[in-house]
Amino acid sequence: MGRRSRTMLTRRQFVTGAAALAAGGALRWAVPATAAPATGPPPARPTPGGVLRVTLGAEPTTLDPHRSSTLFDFHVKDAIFDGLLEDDFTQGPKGQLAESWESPDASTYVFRLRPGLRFHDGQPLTAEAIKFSVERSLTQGTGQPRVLVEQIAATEVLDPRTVRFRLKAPNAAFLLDAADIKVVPPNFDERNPVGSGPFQFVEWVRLRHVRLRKFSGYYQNGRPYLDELVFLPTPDENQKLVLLESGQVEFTDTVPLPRVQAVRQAGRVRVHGIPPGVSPSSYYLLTRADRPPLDNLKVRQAISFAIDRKALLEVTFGEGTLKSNAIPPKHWAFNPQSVSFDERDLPRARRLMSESGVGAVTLQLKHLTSRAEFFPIAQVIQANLAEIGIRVELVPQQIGIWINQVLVQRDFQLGLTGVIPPYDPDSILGNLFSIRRVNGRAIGWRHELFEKQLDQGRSVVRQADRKRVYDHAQLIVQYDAPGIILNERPILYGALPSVQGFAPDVRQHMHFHGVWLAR
Amino acid sequence: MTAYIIRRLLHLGPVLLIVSAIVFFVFRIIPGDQAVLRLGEEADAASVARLRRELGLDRPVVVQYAAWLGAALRADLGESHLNRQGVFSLVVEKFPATLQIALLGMAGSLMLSVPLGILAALRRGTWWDQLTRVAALVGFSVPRYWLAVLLILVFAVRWRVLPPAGFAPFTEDPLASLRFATLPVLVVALSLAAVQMRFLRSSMLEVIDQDYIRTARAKGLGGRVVVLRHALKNALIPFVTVLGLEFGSLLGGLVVVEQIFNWPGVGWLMVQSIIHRDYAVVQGAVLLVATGFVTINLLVDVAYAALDPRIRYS
Amino acid sequence: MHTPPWTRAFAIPRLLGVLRRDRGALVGALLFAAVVLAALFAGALTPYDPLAVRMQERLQLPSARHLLGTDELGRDLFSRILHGGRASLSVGVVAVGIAATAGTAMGLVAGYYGGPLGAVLMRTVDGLLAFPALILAMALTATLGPSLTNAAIAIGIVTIPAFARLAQASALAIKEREFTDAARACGASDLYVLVRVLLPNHLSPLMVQTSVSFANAILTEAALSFLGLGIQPPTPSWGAMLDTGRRYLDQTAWYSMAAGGAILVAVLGLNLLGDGLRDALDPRLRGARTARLAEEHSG
Repeated sequence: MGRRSRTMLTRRQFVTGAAALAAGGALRWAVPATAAPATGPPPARPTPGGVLRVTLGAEPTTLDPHRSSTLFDFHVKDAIFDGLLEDDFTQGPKGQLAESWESPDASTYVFRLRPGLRFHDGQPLTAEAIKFSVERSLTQGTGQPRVLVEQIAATEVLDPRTVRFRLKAPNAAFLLDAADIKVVPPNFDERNPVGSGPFQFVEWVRLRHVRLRKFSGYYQNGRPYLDELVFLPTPDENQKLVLLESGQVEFTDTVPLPRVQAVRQAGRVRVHGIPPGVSPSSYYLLTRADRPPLDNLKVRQAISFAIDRKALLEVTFGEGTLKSNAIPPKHWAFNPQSVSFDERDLPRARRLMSESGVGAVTLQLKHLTSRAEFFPIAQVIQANLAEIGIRVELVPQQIGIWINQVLVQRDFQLGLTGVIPPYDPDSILGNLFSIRRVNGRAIGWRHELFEKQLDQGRSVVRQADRKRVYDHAQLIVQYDAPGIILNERPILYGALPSVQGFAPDVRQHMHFHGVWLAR
Repeated sequence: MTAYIIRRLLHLGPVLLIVSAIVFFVFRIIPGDQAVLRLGEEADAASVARLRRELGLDRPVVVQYAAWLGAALRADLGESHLNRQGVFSLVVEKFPATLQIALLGMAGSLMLSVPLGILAALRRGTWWDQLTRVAALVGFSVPRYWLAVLLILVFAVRWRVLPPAGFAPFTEDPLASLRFATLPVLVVALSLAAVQMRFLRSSMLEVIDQDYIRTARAKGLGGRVVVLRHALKNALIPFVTVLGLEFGSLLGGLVVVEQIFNWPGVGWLMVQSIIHRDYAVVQGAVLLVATGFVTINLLVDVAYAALDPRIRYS
Repeated sequence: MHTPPWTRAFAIPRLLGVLRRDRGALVGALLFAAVVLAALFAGALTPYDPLAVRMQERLQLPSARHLLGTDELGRDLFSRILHGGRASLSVGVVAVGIAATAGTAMGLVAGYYGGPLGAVLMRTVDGLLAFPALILAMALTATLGPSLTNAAIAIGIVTIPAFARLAQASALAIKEREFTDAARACGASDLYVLVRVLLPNHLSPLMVQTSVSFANAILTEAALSFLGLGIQPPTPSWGAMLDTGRRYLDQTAWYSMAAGGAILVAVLGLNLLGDGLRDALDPRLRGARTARLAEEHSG
């Protein structure tokens, strides 16, 4: 009897859950959805107009929202394209293109679109466009955008404003995924990308800028406030700060960590950030867990114990926080019982190495270059692992190449990157470790029970039940260490004092539809 | 004279051919395929194969080279695999920025090197001469990037008088453009001036030592006048050719300076394209820079021959 | 040439003679010797392991414990500068070795034989010369992969033209002289003439060029490392340290400045020495050799 209640929805749970969703849905049907609340001091009245220039750590690889793969793609994508729901789920789901939704069961979702939605070129945005976008993601999409829609068995247009998704398998976290499905018109051309987001495309001059301007037909009345939004690829981090302090840009997507303290003290520009411990942002070390020597559990554990996370925290100048669990300590799903590698344990690491039977070995570590701190982090790892008999060769790679080699071709042994999965524990644990998703596929760690836990977590609706499932999943994944979490990656932005209305989101996506410039 | 020009032009053809061959084959060494690069993640073997056929990557290398060369002659250097912009237009777009630094840098260097070089030659052996020689030698040995960092530290960080970086196209906002260009131009001017000073001084000295100057002096003309008129005139010709060569090499040689100041010129474009593995752009840019350099060399040689009849028969 | 033919036996005493007479060259030689010795005996000169990470001591200013301070991972800067010399010097040696051997051979052959062979060789050299040195080196390391060896090879290839042109000029000048004719009249083979007659007479310009090209190789290697295309971490390299140090200018300016200073000392020493050699050994070279001087300074 106990077994039954754990793996299947009991009638009562089902009804309660469905009722809650329906009630919520009915409520939303009646009440217009609100945009994400702006945090910070209560604003004066927003003044419309102005140009906001924003630095980006790298050139976007594409403006096609179904093929985007890097964070920089996402930043630009979020300005041009809207999805059914908004991105930030820390306070629950909020509608973007959808004004309401309901889910009779965890495999069926019905969304009702707002009235009068249009694309930038004036075309009406109907449920047909949703269906088209989903299908385009499947046929022409790549990477995460495609994987999201692969779970959809059928997309049905019920009426011009209503669309229904039937999923192949239950997924209680589908709302999150719905936020990432960006909608494009049927005649979409990536050279002149048309979407329905707050800003519309003007031009992309390679290595110079991506220029967007306000979409005056945006569904949120009065927004966006800005006339123009310009993204400037600026690979050099110090350069970003220079541009900001000299007033050549108003906003930077990162702040060089060695300068944060000085900048805060000088007070000329503002540093916006997420409080530590909240965001699932992490530095993430992938291992090729299906090949020797990393297929050996003890080797992976040894590596995780040998890495000095306190030293890594120093590398980031104290920004971010110490952690070794993908689920952040302040998250509702965090399980403090799971194995923690927060404290370095060199003797234990050495013991594990000798128990593993693997002798001295050389491993290649491919790491990103998009943030300057990847270099010293990689070198700390190199120094730490040298102490347990592992020689590490460092291979810095630009993000596009890293993705191709590590995630696509799986040609790697250790891979260092930064990740920010969506807030739901299914996304955090699944996106990072599940063999059915991009990162996990690269790692190659097969664990039947873990996958079953994930499935269950998606099919169960009540948070307390889901927590039980994810507690168990964490026990498994922390013990096995197929991928190693190395502290929280700090999310910091720099902005001139005139920039108002910016709210950082835990996924590090920048949203500018509520931003205005004070005069 | 025309015979000389024709001979040099005939010389040009094979050199350019070799240049293009070097450019092409250097980039063939790359591990990794343009097709896979273009299609990115999750590409299945069939579409990769299709794209390879489209791009002509399955033909023999020599055929590919010929095709590429043919296209290049029509100013078609392919396109950037990131946003499909034509390579040729990309390079042409970034060129004015490099030109701006090159021209201003040369102008600045001349303002320093000409008076100092002449003075050093005139006051040969004095402390002034020694000082100039040492300064020139140091300036010649200092790595440009170090000089750049030093100048940034002094002028932009400690004394906040100049912006440490930034860019505005000259055509859009000349004043801002000049402000931003000040530090990079300073770096270039100082390092060029060092080379020029050494050169000017030594070539003037060479002339001063020659017999006919002594003879002219003996005839009673004032020393300084003699030097300025004869020595300078004779030293000017090789000096001008040095300038020409410097300019030619500057066009591609500003790479590091552009990198430090994030100045979006041709050198910067090349570095960024290497980072993004956008090899079509690197290939095209290198080809264009090399062609420009060879052409400028040719012009310099012809000018040199026109001005100095002694050279023509060497 | 108005000086008697040189054989290798006379080169060293002559070199010392130059150093005695020309103070500039002497200073240069001493500077460079200091750099070489510091690099060779780096281990003995400092107790710190250049690779030892000590996060608690990161980014310190110079002190009694750390002569130049520490870098972002707590590694002693003085030690890293000394060891960085090894990397730069070895790249220089290999690069100049490749360039001097290949370039001189090409030039001598082209100058001596002339004709179509000479034309092809020199056109190739001209082709190489058409590229700004750093660009070609960048392209080569980008395709071969960034590493110490590849940087050395790339720089070597890029430096070949300087040696080739020089050797060709020498060969052209010398092949018409009496001793060449005499040797051939005695039945000497081409190879003998090349190696035993042309080469020894080429030694003085060769020495000058070697020191200048060495200086350039160091500069170019530093530029490559600066751009991330040369020596990879954690091996210390002056160029990479100069670049990394820029991030931490707030905490310590010594990081970048010391690295740049090291490059300056090495290059300055070599240039002083080269100047002195040039002035003493072949006065003609002081003059209007436009191509060489312009080539010397790369980006």
